[in-house]
Amino acid sequence: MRKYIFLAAAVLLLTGLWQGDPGRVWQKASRICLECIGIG
Amino acid sequence: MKKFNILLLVMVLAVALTGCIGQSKASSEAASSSSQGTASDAVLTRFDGQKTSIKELYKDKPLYINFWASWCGPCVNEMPNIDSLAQKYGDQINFAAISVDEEPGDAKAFVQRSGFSMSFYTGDNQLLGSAYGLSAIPVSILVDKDGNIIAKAVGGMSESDLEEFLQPALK
Amino acid sequence: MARRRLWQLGAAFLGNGNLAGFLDGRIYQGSSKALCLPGLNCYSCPGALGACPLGALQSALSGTVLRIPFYVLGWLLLMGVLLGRMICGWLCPFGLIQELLFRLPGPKLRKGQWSARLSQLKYLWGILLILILPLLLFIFTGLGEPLFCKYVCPAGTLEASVPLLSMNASLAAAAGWLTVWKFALLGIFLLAMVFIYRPFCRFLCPLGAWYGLFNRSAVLGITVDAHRCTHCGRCSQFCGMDVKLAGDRECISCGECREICPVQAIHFRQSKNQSNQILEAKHS
Repeated sequence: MRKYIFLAAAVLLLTGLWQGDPGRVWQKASRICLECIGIG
Repeated sequence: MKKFNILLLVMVLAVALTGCIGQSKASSEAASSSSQGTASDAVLTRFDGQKTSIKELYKDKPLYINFWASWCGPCVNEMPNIDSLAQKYGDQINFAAISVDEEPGDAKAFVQRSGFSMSFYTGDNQLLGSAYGLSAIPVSILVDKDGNIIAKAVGGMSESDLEEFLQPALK
Repeated sequence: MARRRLWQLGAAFLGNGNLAGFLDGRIYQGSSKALCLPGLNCYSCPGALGACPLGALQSALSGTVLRIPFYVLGWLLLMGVLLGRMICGWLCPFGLIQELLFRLPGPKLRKGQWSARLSQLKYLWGILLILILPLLLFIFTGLGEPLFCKYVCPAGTLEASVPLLSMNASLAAAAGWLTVWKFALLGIFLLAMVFIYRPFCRFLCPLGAWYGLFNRSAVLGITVDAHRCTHCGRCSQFCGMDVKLAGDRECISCGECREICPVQAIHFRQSKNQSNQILEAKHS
């Protein structure tokens, strides 16, 4: 069971890396999301 | 024990009230400060491909800049307000909505869907980010014809708040 | 117990090492923000050097473009299968804050049926606030919202709002009724944390709910030797979380129950021999 979860995690991570997800995570994490922290 | 409970209650109230105090802090602190430096120049590309610069945009009229992103809720929510005022005051103020999306395609798709009439731009995000201190968005900046930043505000604004924000450039 | 505290403090400082951010009211914008941290750690915290996995997940379902967040999902799966809720017990700064507040003197509310039931609700909140409602909002309005972050998450309010509102005047000017709501909620949570052990972790945290699903299959974490266990229930009684048996979905693998097990059936995976030797030496 564990090895299938590892495999799924690897597939998801690689797919995400391939489609540029880290850049999207970065762009949102590097700007203050005002509504996320309750400013508004 | 009783003293401890009172202390705890005071602590909780203090934390809860910080939000209220934050809300009531004078927006003039941020918005109407008269001297906030000069607007840094940067090359901008309009969504239709035409190139210009921030300096070009404040040459003949004061300039309203809105830094936004398609993934930012408050940014997207205030866009109709900005567009409405762009139609009302476009002859007196230049309006420039500059997207800081890492993927400009997302911003373009949103603008196309929404049918806004004002001008949308992209630029060098890193340059713009450090020049204008963009750690939060949306950011509204008002620039006079000499390139001086006459007002700056962070956060989404209602149409009436935005109209008030534009007043220094309409005098 | 001291070792676990060191890990918690280390994770808190390592994940929030941008001290300059606390001085100038800005957040870190370096490339490490593309990496998710394991625990709940608001990326708008001035010190944060990485992204909150829950925040990153919420971001993917908010805005005007919907994308399946493969990278974040892969990360959550990897962390789950490696550590499960051991992350909650050893690496989450917000868990640490709750434990420290619970150490303040005052009456402590005992767990019971009420808390066991409430602890199941976090799965419902998680699915609703993280997945279903943002998706529905996107479908009907064209704009998704990070509902959990925006309306609930006290970690964001404490770790981000508090320092940023104090140090950054332009952000303070943007504060409104949402700010009042979040601070009131934070106040309630902070108060509850003094009287109730880890209330956020037990009743609300969607991240803990997710990681808990992997507790039994995780590489590391607490496990119970089924051959030795007599189901006496002492681990469940002793534990501050709403576990039925050490190592189940509610277990945060703090390891404190190992010493009270009368048959030494509880140990950390991958360190069974070492753990048992230490325990047996203590008891002899």
